[in-house]
Amino acid sequence: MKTTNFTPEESFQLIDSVIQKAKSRFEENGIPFILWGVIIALCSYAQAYMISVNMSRESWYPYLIMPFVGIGLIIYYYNKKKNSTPNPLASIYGRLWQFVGLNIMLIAFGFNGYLQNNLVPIILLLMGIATLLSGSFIKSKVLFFSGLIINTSAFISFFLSWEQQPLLMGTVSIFALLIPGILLRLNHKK
Amino acid sequence: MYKNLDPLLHSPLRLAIVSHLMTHTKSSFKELKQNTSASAGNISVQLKKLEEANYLRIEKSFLDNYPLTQVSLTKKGIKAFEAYVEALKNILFKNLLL
Repeated sequence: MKTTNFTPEESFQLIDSVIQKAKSRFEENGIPFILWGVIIALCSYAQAYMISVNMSRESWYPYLIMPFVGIGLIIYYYNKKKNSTPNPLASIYGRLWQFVGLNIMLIAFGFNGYLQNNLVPIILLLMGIATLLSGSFIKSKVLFFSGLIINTSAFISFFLSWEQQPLLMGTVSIFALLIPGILLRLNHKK
Repeated sequence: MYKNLDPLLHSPLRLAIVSHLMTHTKSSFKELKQNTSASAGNISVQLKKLEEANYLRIEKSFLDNYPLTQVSLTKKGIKAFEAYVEALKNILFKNLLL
């Protein structure tokens, strides 16, 4: 790095390159999207299958795995955070998902009786907003458009019956979580 | 040449250090070295200058029996960086109009 004074244009380029470095370090987060994409798809399709074989009452059981995955991810991130440099953007990003995740768990397990057909659309709305904001934070078009897809599917699911909603949720999680997660991972590895 | 620009920040290495610290609340000396690709001696000199101006604080501790130097910006340092970026914007905007 040169030590002589430089022009304002060079100053801006330097600030931008340092911020880009911080941003690329933050793009590692493809793994949670892959993980949630797989788990939500499996749970949703399992629920759809159980409904089709007249096990409607027990069809929500597959979702019981989610709090454990959530706790596992919190522990993983806590350990990762302990061994890395504090990054304000990463903290906001982490808080956003912790808060959204907690709300999804609360409404899914505490308010499903009240919400009934509206449960899946509300979960998709929360997920859509968090994904869209995540895309904006790390300037990822893939995540931004995934957020839009999830958000749109939330409004579509208001018009579907509760038997059809798990199929939509499973498909959305493949196209708007799993595939973008894989793309983020591949992009990061490059 | 650019009177409105803080001379302490208008130096490539010092600006790189402060920009890095703006995106990382706390950073180790090793990370600063990796991110700036500068020599340890050069970084030490620039850190000292920034510390003397009260733009950053340097904390020395131990991690697994190894010395650990961590650097973070002070409020004065954050304000100076923000003022520097603002002054930079004004200069670039004026250049655009000319």
